[in-house]
Amino acid sequence: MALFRARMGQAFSADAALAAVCILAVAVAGMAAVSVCARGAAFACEQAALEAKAVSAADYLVKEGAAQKTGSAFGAVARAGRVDEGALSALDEDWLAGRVGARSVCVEGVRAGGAAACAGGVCVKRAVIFQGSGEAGYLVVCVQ
Amino acid sequence: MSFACNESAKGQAFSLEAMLSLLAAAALLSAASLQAQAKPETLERLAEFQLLNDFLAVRSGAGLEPGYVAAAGVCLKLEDGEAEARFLPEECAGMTPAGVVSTTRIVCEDGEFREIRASLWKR
Repeated sequence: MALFRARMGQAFSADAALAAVCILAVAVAGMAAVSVCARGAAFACEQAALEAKAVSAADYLVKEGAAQKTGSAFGAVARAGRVDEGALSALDEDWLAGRVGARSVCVEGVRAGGAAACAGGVCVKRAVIFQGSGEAGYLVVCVQ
Repeated sequence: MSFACNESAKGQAFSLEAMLSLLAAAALLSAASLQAQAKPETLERLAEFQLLNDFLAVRSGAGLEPGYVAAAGVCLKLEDGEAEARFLPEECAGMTPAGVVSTTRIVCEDGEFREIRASLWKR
């Protein structure tokens, strides 16, 4: 095998120079890929956290917060899936937002065929029955 | 330029090691980009499962209309014992479902217990 003999002004052999360029290119591309992954992961984490808050808030409202209450020997008993429209309109959305750790929460009862005004952020729709009319509708909860 | 260390054959641009390193780097970069494109974990399936159970509760209390189910942007398939499957809305019958969530419930209706199997998927 012949030995490497450096010439005047030559720092690398052609092989080594090519390898260095390749390593630099791979390092730059790798850093760009890591940066994109990190940004995507941060966004996914934020979305997942918002989804968890929306699902929790909607579940609380359907089972307890806005559920129809009937008296019993043990006190008021909530009927899950049956929404009391009075309780829904009296609901303090800022309080609920504070409880679930969100910037804002929008809660709305929508009758069948109606359109929801709540929008933005992450929204969860739950099928419910409205207590007064006995009609089927949706409880829409949007969290930001 | 000197190729003193590399006794390369005519027309050979890279050594085997360099070629392997390049291939490994390319594989790593491809894996990283595939990872970046992967769909993140969401609670979408949980929300769909809750909605499916809500529909079964509403079915018992107020009944289910095709327009009502369609408003949620989903298809619902109800299999009541031996009876033919019912699709809500009806146009869902011809669809090939993807990402289906299913549940089974035993209900007491008209004085007898029946098993109802329900499936839901996004339209």
